[in-house]
Amino acid sequence: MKDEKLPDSDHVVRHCEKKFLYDDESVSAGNFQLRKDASGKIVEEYLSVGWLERYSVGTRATQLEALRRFMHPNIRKFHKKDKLAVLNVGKSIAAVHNGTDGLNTIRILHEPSEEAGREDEAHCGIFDTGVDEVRIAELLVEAIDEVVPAR
Amino acid sequence: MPEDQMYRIIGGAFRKRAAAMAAATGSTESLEDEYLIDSQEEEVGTAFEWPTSTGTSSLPNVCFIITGKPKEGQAARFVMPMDTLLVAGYPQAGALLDWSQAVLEVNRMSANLRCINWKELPRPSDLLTATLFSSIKSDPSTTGALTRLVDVTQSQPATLESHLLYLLTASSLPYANALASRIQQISEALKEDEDERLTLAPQSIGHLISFLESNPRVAKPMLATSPLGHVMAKWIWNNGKMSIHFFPDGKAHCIISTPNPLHSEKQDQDSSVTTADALGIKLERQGALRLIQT
Repeated sequence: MKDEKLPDSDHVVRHCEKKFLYDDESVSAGNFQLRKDASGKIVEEYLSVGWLERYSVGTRATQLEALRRFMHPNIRKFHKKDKLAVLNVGKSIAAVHNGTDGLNTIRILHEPSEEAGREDEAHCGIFDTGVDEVRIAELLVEAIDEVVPAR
Repeated sequence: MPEDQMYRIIGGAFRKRAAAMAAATGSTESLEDEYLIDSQEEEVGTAFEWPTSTGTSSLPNVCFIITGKPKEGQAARFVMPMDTLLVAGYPQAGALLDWSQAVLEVNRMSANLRCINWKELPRPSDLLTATLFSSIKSDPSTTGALTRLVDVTQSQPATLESHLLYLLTASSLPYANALASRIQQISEALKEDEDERLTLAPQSIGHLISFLESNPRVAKPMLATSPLGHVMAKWIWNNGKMSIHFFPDGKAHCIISTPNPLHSEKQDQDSSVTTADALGIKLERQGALRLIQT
């Protein structure tokens, strides 16, 4: 259901583009920052993520493989050196809350995409990252459970 | 190339031919100075005088092509009076990363100057940057010549190219070439994305370089960029890490992750915002600078 909160025990996956990785290898805060226009104004409402448990049942590896097959290349193009970062929902929310002394609370909500040709029932968003964005992005990087190649 | 238009770079010292210099620039300043680059008495390159037709109003119409490959770990530094421009092996962006290639290209050009399309090179203003000279301002032997030069250069906006040029020719950082290579790599990666046109913010790069040069014992960082083109530097050591975001306006946001002193399985994260020029002092006072030093 749209805008439904994800269970704390579930996981989301963030597509981390190569161009924002540190030395083409490790995920950076840039991978968790909202897109801006030329004037610096935020043009995204939330950070797009995929609800891992919705793509497949089974092991983590099975779920990730199902996500890759579903996403690439029709929904989202994964380039050769891009990464996928897996985050636990509850841990990520707590990391941001605790890491900002309770000042910031992010929300991870179900945002199924209905865009023609790019329908994605498992699409979700990480909301409220725009305030104190650098700090929150760094905290989300720290909260990552696992990083795997996107392809 | 007439003999009087050639300048030898000996031991990093740029020995001017006074008469030719005066004729070329119309300068009334003393031209007998020798500008020290380093102490080695060995020819490392050649400078060719190159009249230009760029017609910039504030800058004279003479520049120099510097050829020569600095030795490993030796950064060539060129100090010149304010009425000269410096061009250092810069035929195209790709060649910037390979001094040998750049030198070959410059040699080829200097043998056939009339065929050069100046538009392929950076604008002269790109080549004169405040950062190019900031690291040598402290050299007392150059103070007189630099005073006005810095005034001129500080009015020129720095570009990504001028920062790369500076790193490849004048920076004292032992990893300057690797840093330039990585910055160039990020820039190219951003350009590759046809759906989203992003560029690195030159001012952000400038603050990174200034921070590193002000703190020369700091190890080479990993680099990445934000979606706004702001450069981020990161260092990882055995039980912690530090990230610094350099913003174009001179602000720096530093995040340090270290083990909790009482619960070593937990990581504490300290975040602070300051100005990039004060960052080294602040980290020193916090005892955090040593964490990223070699």
